[in-house]
Amino acid sequence: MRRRILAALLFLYPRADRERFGGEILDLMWDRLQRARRRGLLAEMRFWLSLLWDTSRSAVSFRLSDRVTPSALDGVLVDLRYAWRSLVRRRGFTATAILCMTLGLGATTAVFSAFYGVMVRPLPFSDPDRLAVLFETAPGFTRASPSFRDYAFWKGRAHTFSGMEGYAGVRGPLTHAGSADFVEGGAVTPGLFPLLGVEPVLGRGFTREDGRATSPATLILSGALWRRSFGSDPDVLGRTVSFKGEPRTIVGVMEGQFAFPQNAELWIPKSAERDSGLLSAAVARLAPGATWSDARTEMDGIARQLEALDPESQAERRVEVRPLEEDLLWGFRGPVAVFFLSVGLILVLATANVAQLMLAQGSARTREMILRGALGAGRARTARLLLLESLLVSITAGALGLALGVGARDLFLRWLPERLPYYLSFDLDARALLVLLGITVLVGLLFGLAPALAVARPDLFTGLRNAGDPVGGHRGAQRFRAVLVAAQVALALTVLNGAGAMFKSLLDLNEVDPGVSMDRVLSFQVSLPQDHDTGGADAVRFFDDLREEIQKLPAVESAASVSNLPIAGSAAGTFLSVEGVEPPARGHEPWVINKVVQPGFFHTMGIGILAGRAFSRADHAGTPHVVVVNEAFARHYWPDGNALGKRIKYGRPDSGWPWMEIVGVSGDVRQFGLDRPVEMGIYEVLAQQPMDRSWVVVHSRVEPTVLIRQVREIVTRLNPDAPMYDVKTMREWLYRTQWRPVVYARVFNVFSGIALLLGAVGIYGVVAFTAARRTREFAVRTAVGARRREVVGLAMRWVLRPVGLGLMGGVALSVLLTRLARTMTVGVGTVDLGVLSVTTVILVGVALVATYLPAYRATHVDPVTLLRSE
Amino acid sequence: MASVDASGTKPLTSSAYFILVALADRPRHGLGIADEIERRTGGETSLGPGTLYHALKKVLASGHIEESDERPDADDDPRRRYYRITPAGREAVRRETARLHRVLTVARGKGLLPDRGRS
Repeated sequence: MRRRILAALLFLYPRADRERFGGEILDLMWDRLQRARRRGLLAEMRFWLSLLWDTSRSAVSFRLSDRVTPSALDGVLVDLRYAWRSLVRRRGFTATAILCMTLGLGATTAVFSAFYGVMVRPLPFSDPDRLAVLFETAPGFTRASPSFRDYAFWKGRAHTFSGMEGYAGVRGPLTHAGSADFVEGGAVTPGLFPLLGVEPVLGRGFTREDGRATSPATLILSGALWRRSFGSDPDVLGRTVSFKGEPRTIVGVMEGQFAFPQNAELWIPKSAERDSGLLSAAVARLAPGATWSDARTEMDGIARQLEALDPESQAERRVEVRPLEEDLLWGFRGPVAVFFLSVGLILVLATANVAQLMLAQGSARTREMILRGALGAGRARTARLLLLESLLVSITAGALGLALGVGARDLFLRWLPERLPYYLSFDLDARALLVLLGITVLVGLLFGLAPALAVARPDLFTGLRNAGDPVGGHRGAQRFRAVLVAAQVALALTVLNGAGAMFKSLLDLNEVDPGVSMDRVLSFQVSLPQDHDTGGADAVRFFDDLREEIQKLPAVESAASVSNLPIAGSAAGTFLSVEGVEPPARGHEPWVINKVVQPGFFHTMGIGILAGRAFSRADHAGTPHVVVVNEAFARHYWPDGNALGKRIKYGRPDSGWPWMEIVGVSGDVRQFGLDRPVEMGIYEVLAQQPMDRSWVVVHSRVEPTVLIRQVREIVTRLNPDAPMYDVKTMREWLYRTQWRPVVYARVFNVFSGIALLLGAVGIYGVVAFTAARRTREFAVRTAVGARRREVVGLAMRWVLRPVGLGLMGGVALSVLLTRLARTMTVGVGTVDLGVLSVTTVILVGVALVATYLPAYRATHVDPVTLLRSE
Repeated sequence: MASVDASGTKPLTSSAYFILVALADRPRHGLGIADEIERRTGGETSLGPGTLYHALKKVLASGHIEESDERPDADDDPRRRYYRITPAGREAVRRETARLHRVLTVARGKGLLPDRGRS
């Protein structure tokens, strides 16, 4: 056996040598192997390793020595060593070039990892581009929850889909083995997992049986929950746990990070018999051969059929068919595209920089190149040498940039308010790395092309003459340099303006009054086990006790409950009728947010009462129902009149709900975030509208996170079965809704810094180069009496025009690109005069410094010494 | 050791040198050459099979050694190929040894040689 391996190794050698020496080599190998074996296992292993090495090396020697003439490969190897040495010799240039490219490629790597994750990598489902999300739309609603009946109706009639399933979100306490978690989960129809193409790693998925009311209640865990709370116990199947008070048997554990729809940690079955409530949406797979427009047409027809059958509740309701990819990734695609564009600018800037540097170097090495040519190196060979140098620079920068970019990406991920969803990953796989390598090589070729071409041109003889030319090379090179400067200025200005626009939008956002106190307010949710007996009196008492106990804490200013937290972005809404106002047509009722609060809420959250009064203890179950409306509501219905004393009720005027009197008007609050408009809203008092689940807000005198433990103790003391969750400060909630402009501004600040640095290096380099070639001229001028200032001015003057042109080009480009960016995502401001003036001043300042410094240095060489050395 | 001396002849690599030295006293086969080199340098120099035969091929090409018909080892595999040094090879190895000797003389004069005491 071993002998056969040895014999196989011989095949590395060329055939002729193998036939001639093979037997002898084999004998020698065998002899040495036996010797090693006699000395022990370790010795044998060392033998094999050294034999492998020896065979490989000698195989290369055999093959190389066969050639009578040096081959192309040999030439490249020689050139590579020469390129390496020549780069090491010119340390300043090499370091600068690598720095510029590392910044450019590093930024590219970071952004590309996001781009790849969002745009290229497929979602972790089977055939994800054939999956669709279906939901309802209605006038005034861009997205409405379909009822189970609607879903069943669609499923029964749709032929353009080969499968349709539904899901809804659920949240609640999960108790097992004595410990309790508050978890998010999904209620899904049995065929959902197979439709998506995901399988459990343990146990089974749901079957139709699980949907029957007579079957035992089942539950499936997510991989993450299983690992976190169940210790990855393989015996978890069959165990009973309690979810939302109902005992269920665990029948399966899902794979990996799967958490459909968003952050689900467990799933329960949903069917007509079990949990037939509203769905979040339906998921469907396009039938083979069906197109998106086929599906949309069919669903439109089905929606109309449903409307005809039930005009009351289905008035003007339509079905929207959206690709699942779009639904899951919509929020990411815009920003990633904007970043991608911007980083492209930076990469071009960096490449132009290095091309500039290489051109300057190329000119300085003209003599070396001419000599090489005279000694017989072909033009092609010299050009190849220069390209090899560029490739070495770009690949080194690429490797460094990769490390830098990955670090930057991780930093960026930490700026996001939450972790990336399970279906999205910014990791770089083999394909992504290959693309990055391709970009690196391409960039290297691009900036190597300039000097390589310059060399390949047949004006070496003029080059000899012009090597000492005071103007520094022939007109073509000079013009090219000016173009590069203009391009660099334009690109840098564009990136700066991008940052300015982001920053401005952030500033604008900060000016918006949220309508509530943001400082030192803690919020959390508490959910009581449902009580049906006392008509909610227990719930009211619980929240009253809770508020009292919390307010006893010395660090607490005040506290109150509210059914939906302001700013946090979710709200319950309903239709209202106003007494004396003609109700709108069906399907066109305005949507009004309604909240249930405790007395003291307005005070706690710093919401002003503009007219009338807030709630008090005098408002309770025994007194007439009262409401407080917000300013937007009051202004909408009574623009110049008084809202106080008017009456409203839920539903249409003939509904069974009681009329409620408006006793107060409160300030507007931005429910959905600072950049969204104010919605109409009304408030009711908890005592008159009991709820067993509510948010609680606590205005604290100190840093609110300090209170969390004490508040938790109070909640547990009052009701040990009531979980407390979603604990955050209002500032954290605010960040969740406005993180976009904040993160954009940060990213663009980094981009701007890079762009300014690159621009400065580029301008410095080119001015240093041109000025250095004119030191003789400057020395002469100074010697004959020209003032220093004049001479410096001379060195700087030629830069002015390209910079000016670059500024103009940059302005145009900025306006164009920000307009494009605004179509892609929110949070991008405009490039107005304010932004432009700031960025232009910054850039011109940097350019001036970058021009002055090298000019100063070049003109302050002692003319006497310089002229004497000539 | 790949130097060109004053006579301008082609350089002698260390592997080639060792092979010539190994064949200086009598013809050997490949395994014998490898054993001889290892033994004589006290295990310090050990040429891998590939390296050895590549060098062997080059030395053959340069005419310093040739295949031999003599079979000095008894009870030996007739398929084994023996090599012997040629006059040109003898000349080359002598010249290189002399050069090395000159180098060592200088080194010894500067006290660079290790103390005697080991053979």
